[in-house]
Amino acid sequence: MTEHHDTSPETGRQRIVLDTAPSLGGLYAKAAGSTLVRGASTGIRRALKGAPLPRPGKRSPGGPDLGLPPVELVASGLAVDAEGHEAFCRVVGARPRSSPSGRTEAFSGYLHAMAFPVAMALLTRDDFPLPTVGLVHLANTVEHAAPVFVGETLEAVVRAEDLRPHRAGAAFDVVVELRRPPADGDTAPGAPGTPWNRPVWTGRSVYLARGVDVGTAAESERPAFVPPVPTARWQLGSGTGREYAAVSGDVNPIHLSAASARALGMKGAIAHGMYTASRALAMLDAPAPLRWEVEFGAPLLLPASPAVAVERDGRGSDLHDGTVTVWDAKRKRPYAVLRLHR
Amino acid sequence: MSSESHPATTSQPTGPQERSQRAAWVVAGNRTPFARSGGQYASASVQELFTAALEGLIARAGLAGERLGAVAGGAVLKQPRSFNLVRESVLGSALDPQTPGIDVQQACATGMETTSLIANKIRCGQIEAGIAGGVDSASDAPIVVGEGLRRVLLQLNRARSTADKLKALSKLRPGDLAPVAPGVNEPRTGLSMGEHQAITTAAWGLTRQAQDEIAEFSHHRLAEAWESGFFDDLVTPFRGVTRDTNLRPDTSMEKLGGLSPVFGTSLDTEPTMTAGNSTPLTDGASAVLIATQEWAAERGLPLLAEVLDFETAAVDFVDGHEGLLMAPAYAAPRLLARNGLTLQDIDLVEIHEAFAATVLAILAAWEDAEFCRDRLGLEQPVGAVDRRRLNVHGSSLAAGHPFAATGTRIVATLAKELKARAVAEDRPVTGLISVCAAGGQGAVALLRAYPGN
Repeated sequence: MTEHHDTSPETGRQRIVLDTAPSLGGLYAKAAGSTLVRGASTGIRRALKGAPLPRPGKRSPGGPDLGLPPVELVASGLAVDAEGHEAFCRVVGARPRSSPSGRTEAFSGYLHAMAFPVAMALLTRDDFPLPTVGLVHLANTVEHAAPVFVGETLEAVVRAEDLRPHRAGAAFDVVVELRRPPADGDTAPGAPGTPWNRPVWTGRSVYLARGVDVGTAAESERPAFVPPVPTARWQLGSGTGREYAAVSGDVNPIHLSAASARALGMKGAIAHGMYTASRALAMLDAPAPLRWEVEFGAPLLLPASPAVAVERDGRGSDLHDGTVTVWDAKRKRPYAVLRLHR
Repeated sequence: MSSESHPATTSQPTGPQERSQRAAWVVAGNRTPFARSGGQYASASVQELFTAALEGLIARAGLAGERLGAVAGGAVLKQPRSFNLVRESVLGSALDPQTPGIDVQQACATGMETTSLIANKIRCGQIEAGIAGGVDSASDAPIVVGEGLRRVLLQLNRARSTADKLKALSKLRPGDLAPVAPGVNEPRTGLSMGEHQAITTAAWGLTRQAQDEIAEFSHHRLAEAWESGFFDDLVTPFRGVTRDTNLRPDTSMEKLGGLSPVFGTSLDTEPTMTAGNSTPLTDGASAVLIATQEWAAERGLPLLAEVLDFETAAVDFVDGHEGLLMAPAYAAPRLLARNGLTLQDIDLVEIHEAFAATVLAILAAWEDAEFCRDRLGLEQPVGAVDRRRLNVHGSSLAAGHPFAATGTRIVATLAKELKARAVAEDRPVTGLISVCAAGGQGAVALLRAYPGN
């Protein structure tokens, strides 16, 4: 992958445009897939060879003045592929919505997966100061501002920001913005205020680098988890991580098998956070525009049959607020809580 | 032609006004003994079971060679090749092969819905007589190929060229070849019916003791009914089975109390639901003959009970707003109100025992002023049911529950009992049936018997 650089007039960040010509848009997923694999393996190499994973209590070599690279990665030509979208929806149990004109509304969780290789490309850059493998996904907030349809091609801009202390290490955000490309008649590309300049989908993923010391986190009391009355249960087989990896491209070894997960210090394979989030979101089954946020708790060790509770004030376009809680019924620990507003 | 033109039926074409006032009567019933799944009926298909129930009814009511207006039946667990299960069963029976068959499916309320369908056809003047029934066999459940193999096979079917066919086949993975048994869980929640009921059980605070009492009564009452010969003209032996094999006449509170809870074990409350106070998977078939008064009189058949009215309700169980099996609690008050009746006017109440707790939860809801006000919109509670009027010959906990067959088992049993009481007490006697069903549905019916014929 080649890159060319300039500076974003809006953010002051160095724009790194991933070299994917729009005419190759349909092939982007494939290219991004190999980028991802390479990125992931770089991360593993770094984790296994370069240095041991940071451990809690140990000061990382960079010390408190670790900085996130002042760059943003830009990838255009991300196609919402019909087959990939259908496969993703099947795995997470999402019911694709079709408009009368035959257009299918893209599932919000799929858009995250579609842009994920770009985020991985950022996290696996040589100037990225934190190890990719071993990052803990803490939370996600998504502003899905307008419906996106299968067959559309979007541009992704990805940046990392807000490195901050966390009680178990250092936390930071990866922000992904998806925009429609300018249509004929649009004013200058990139000009603030033009319709296409507003992201149709913005995702903010909060990650934790365990044991990395960037200062002392403010003490925060987490409220005790009170399990709601269950309304459902999921049956997650040991292959859940592999199934989701196949449709999302997220081949992080901690999700793929018990053996590969143990090699990275986990007790066994755990479900992808975004699998859990997508499946929870699918249960609410609400059309865009919408806003949702998910907070992850204990790792969801596979296989599992977590208890689930769905609370919502309406159905479909009549839904305004909804919550899905996924938890371990035996230990009474939350795996994830997803809230949706629209 | 809207009505039958069989030479044996001499009824004249009737006008709409006249036809709308015709009554539909239960005149005979029959079922196979019910057997626990995987037992004596393990190798019997649903078609064989339903045909057996029909044949027993045909023999009892003298219907050989008769062309009926319709036979309606159905099965919850049905193989794709059994799409015309009822028509195929008719063709295998002694009925005139010109008798149409209708397949119906409304989960455990299938037998109730077929009864409603046949009764309504009669009341509308479309037919003079018909059979309603249902059948299920968890032993004959369809096994299907997994989603992966299904997709490959469909793609293979669409492929024209050899290359396309090979491409389709190349997508096949070893794991795709594993067969898939039918799921018994609610599709939208992933919870089994027992787990759903356990949540309702906890919400209503139903005790283990109360549930075991319902189970004990059910077994003892069904055993007494068998002993007294009550089922002699309601059941035809099948495959050497002469009684319901789930029946435990000697069960007791001690025996039931020794069983371990199986549902609700991960809830915060004490689990109370056991294999003893839950129905087992069961195989069996049942059918009732419904006709006009004239049709029955021509054949010397008794008018056991009039099918007065039906109501079906459905509740939003998906997000836990209501219990999965609570729909009958909503359906019955609507049905009673429509017919100018109250629960106190009902002489006999039949509540299908999906679980003992289902019966208790419905009874508790009808007595609960808050539930009746907030959920049913009633100023007064529906009221209490005297246990001496409830499931007087036992119900599904003892007999078993072949899903689609339960409705017509209860219709036949209740119709016969109502008639006996109407004659003995020389007054009209009214009965209410309640059957809960998957998907948060519930069907209820009113039957009434009169002393004369």
